[in-house]
Amino acid sequence: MEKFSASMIKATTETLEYMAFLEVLPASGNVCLPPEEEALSSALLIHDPIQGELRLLMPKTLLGEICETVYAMPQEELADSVPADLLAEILNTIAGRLLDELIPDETFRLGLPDVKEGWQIFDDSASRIWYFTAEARPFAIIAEGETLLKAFA
Amino acid sequence: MKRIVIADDSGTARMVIRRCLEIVGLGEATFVEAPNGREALAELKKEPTDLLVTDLNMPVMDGETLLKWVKANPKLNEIPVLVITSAGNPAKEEELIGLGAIGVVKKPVSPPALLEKVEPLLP
Repeated sequence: MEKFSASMIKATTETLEYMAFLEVLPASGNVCLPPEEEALSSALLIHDPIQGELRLLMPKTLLGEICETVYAMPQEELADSVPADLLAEILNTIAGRLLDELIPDETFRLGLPDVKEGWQIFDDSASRIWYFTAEARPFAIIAEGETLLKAFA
Repeated sequence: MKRIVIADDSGTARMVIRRCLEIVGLGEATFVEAPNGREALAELKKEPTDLLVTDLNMPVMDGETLLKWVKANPKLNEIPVLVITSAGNPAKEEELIGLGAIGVVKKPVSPPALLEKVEPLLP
């Protein structure tokens, strides 16, 4: 497996295992995503030393379960802002671990993550998508940007 | 009672850091949370503080700038500063310690990783 893929899988599976005690597996075959209104997406820009974007796309149901685990509280007791905040923090952590794997000796600079409703999947040749499953639910990570993809091709 | 300021733009991260600090023995401390470096600095000026834990990547004022401000202020520069970050490498860690941080811990934060850095502060 090429290094970018291996690093992305490692960063994603380890982050969710350490943060939420979740077993995450790379999805094989066709992945059926829930409707747009049932998903949240977080996006984060990589500024230096290469430019690109990472997006983490997750069903709200899965995100809600992760919130309950991380906060050790039922979902209904959590503030409305918590799922988006948690999704952003998960992406931020994945991004850091990914770049630590890919460029361990270089300092990198990340932007601040933002969160939107929906899947945020665009038909773009300068992007790659990785699908995973956790608790039998699919989620995905997208890496976008020619310089980012070419740097680790 | 110890006073600990936690600076991170993520509420989740602040909660996790606080919980880890409670687990390692600082459960009796007063925790003050700030979403960015500027608000953290304001909190540090209000009352004596025993520990500042800061993320690096924050809006308004980032963690590295906050660290520099703290170490440049004669009334604050004795406060131990622990940096928590998703983005780091040995060179960056060395740079931050050179600026006065007591250590750098990578996200996701765990109690053992924090304990190693804050043990001297435990009651």
